[in-house]
Amino acid sequence: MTTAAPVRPLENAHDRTLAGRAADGDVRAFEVLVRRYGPLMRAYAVRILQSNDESDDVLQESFIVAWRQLPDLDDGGVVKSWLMRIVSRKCLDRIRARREHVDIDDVQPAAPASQSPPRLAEVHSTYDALGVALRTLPENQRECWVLREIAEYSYEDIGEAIGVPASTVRGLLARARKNLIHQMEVWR
Amino acid sequence: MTSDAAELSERLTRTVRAVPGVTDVYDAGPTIARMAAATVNAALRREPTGLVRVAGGSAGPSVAVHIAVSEAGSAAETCRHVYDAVLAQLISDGYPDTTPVKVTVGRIS
Amino acid sequence: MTNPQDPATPASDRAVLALEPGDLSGHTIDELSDYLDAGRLPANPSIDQSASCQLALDALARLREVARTLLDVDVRNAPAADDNWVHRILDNIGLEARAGRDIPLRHPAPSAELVLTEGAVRGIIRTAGDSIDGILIGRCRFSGDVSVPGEPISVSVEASAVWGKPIMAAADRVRQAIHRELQTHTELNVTDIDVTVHDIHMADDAEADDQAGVR
Repeated sequence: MTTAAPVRPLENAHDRTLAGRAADGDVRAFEVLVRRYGPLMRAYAVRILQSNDESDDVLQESFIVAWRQLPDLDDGGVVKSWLMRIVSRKCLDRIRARREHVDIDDVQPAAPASQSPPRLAEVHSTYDALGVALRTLPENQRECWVLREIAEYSYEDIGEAIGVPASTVRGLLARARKNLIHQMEVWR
Repeated sequence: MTSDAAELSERLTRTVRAVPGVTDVYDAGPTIARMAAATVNAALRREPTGLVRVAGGSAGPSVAVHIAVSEAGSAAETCRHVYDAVLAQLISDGYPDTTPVKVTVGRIS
Repeated sequence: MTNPQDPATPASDRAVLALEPGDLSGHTIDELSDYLDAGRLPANPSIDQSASCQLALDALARLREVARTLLDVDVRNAPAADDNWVHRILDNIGLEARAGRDIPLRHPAPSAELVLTEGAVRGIIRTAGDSIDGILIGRCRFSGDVSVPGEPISVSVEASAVWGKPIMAAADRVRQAIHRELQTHTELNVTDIDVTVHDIHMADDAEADDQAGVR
């Protein structure tokens, strides 16, 4: 008579093993993937969307999609970047939906209404400084920068994702970088 | 399901649960009926009892069973025993031995 | 006198980094970003010899460095969450067991339909393989139409093996265990069982204890 696999090996299992088992219906394996990459995916969503509530929703939607589409993922070894792509798409869907209701002026930095202006005292590190600086960028500059620097999208992929030509992406990126550098250098 | 069918479903569910090697009985009914039943049962706080699907046809009912079985035996054997038990119950209730019965094993553990 | 490079100069007095083409010997931030991406190769003397370009490149490199690890820091700094977020996700997925195709069992009565689901069979394959010391089963695939009784079926499983144990011997034991399980529970005509070890993992404490014969 065979015995069930101990839980701990699953917790330390390779991505490919977990993705394969989850694709075949192993719920515990899927749970391990959720715990392993959920926090990273959520941090990413917060950086793009600048909203905790929306990030929670996006996280849930992303894992629903992931469960459904896992059987179609041929190489389970890339499940991490595959998951990041899913959460990226969900974030961009939200941003497009926001745009349909609000006109965002690219020139003017759009500070989210829910956040008060950053105070000097809150910046304890370079990371804090970057966080503060990112919040002040206009939305499409921030999107371009996060997709490029964090999600490592190509210019073409960014263009496709946000619906502009790659040349526009370059322009937005250059502006984003200049804005960020100016703000980061002030804190140094 | 008609009340006859609902009653039959409950009887068959008890029969199936009693077969050695059966560890769980799943709802074999259609989704909407399942949701409705779940809501009612939740409201009345009772265990779902009619999980075997009994569909009425002009030539008599057809039965669908969805189960989980123990790894300790043989899933194929347990499946057969469930079929035999269900058929025996149907015959003793006066239904023909040609009543279509489907038994699905969804989990072995 | 204020000097942008002098650390004694108060931050608020340092000149803002000049980042327009006029300040960068005619180069743009876009160009410098590409140059940085390319590892500053092939060498561009116009950029390399421009002090303002070098300052800008340094600033771009610093920004990139912070960006690279930003999410990891975010995750570390996130307030300790309870488990609810995991349960919410799992609850909302509606986890069906991925039943897959019906795998039939033979029965003389035409009105009898007896089947095992593919999902059920995959489950016992996983359990069988997992029971072998140091082995963790991954994806499982069937070749051949499992819905046709008697059809020759070959099973391919991926596995992860623990470092330090002989892999071929383990793969053999996995094959035997899977074969036994399929014979016990199903009527599949299994002609081949293929075990591919694609990952090596380190033994965790539980596995190490098993190996040491502690449990």
